Amino acid sequence: MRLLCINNDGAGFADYVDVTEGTTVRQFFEGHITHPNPSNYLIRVNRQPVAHDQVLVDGDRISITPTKIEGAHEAAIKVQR
Amino acid sequence: MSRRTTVFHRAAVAIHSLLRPEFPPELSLPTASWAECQRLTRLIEKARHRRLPAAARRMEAALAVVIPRVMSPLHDYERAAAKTRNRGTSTIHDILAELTALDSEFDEVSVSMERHCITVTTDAVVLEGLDLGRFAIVLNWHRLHERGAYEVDALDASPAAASEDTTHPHVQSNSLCEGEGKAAIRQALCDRRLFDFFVLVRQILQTYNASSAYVSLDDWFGISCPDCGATTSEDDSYHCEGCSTTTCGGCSNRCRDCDDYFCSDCIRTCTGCEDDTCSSCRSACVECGDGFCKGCLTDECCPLCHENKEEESPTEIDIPSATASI
Repeated sequence: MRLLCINNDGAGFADYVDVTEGTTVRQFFEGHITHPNPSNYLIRVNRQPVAHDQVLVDGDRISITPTKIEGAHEAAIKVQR
Repeated sequence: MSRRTTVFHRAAVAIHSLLRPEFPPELSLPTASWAECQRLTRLIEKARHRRLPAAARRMEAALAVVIPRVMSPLHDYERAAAKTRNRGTSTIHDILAELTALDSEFDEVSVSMERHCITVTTDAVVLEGLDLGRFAIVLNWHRLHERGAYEVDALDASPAAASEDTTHPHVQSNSLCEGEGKAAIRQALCDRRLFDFFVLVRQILQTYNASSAYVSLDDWFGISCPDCGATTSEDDSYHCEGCSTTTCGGCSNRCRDCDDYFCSDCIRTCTGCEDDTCSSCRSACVECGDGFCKGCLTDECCPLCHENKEEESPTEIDIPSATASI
């Protein structure tokens, strides 16, 4: 079956991926994140919060967003006088 | 249809009307290169048939050069087409789903058709125990492709003492410094994934990066003077031109020669006039080696050494004649 995966950990590209029938949210997550710790990510299926053991179905849209995203990482502008 | 759904639907229609259809770039088939491939293949076969290995090798080398000219444009087209395919096309239904989902993710979501804005309100943002209050993320759908597509407004503003425009370590003048989230935010706006956009901005607001904040949380209630330890506001603080630290007005010293301000570590007292001078304006007397301001040095000598030099100068003039008499 085919899912739309949006990985917001990085460039945030949306991509269609093929997975086997019966894949759960946790299994999908662990297969797509390098250091998978679910508490560090917001996982939404069809834009809704889900349980980790929910079985994904064909056409689902799953988005993975880190809970911590550091702002102003590249160009810090300190208050100066 | 509820009034709220109607408003969301109207916004979805408005956003959809601004979409530009995306197509992969035009494909120019490499027909000339392909014809050349066919010609070279025929020649190779003919050379092999006539048992002319040298000629066959020459044709094979020419074929190796032409094959990439056939494959390269096809690969480029496939990559561009895949990108467009994966992006898909947002329908009014998709955009409506994005807006409706915001309602379950955020406590407050509003749409202004007049201002072309979607506004969501975050919960109070608390970073390392400091409550910065709630923030409104305001997205203007007429400016989705522009740099200033959205603003982040502090609703319970508790700005940094050093800068009243800084309402969050990563927000200044209602503008969020996106840092690591920049690429994902751009992509979400590009794909009209409004839900992801708002969630990404919220997560940045809930994260503190001490190494690159406009104002660090340690200095939130004022700048701590490194010299005396007192807390001071931006208006009463001075930037040291020597080492770039920020000190309070009491610990900042003005160089009498260049008029710049320096901390106590970067300023010295002129041995002659006892005024403050910075290291750039201060020079050592060539005779005694003590430090003096520009005004106290004459011919690179301090007043005392210069005076001594002048007193000694007639003797020096006498030296040649004395040497001559010897």
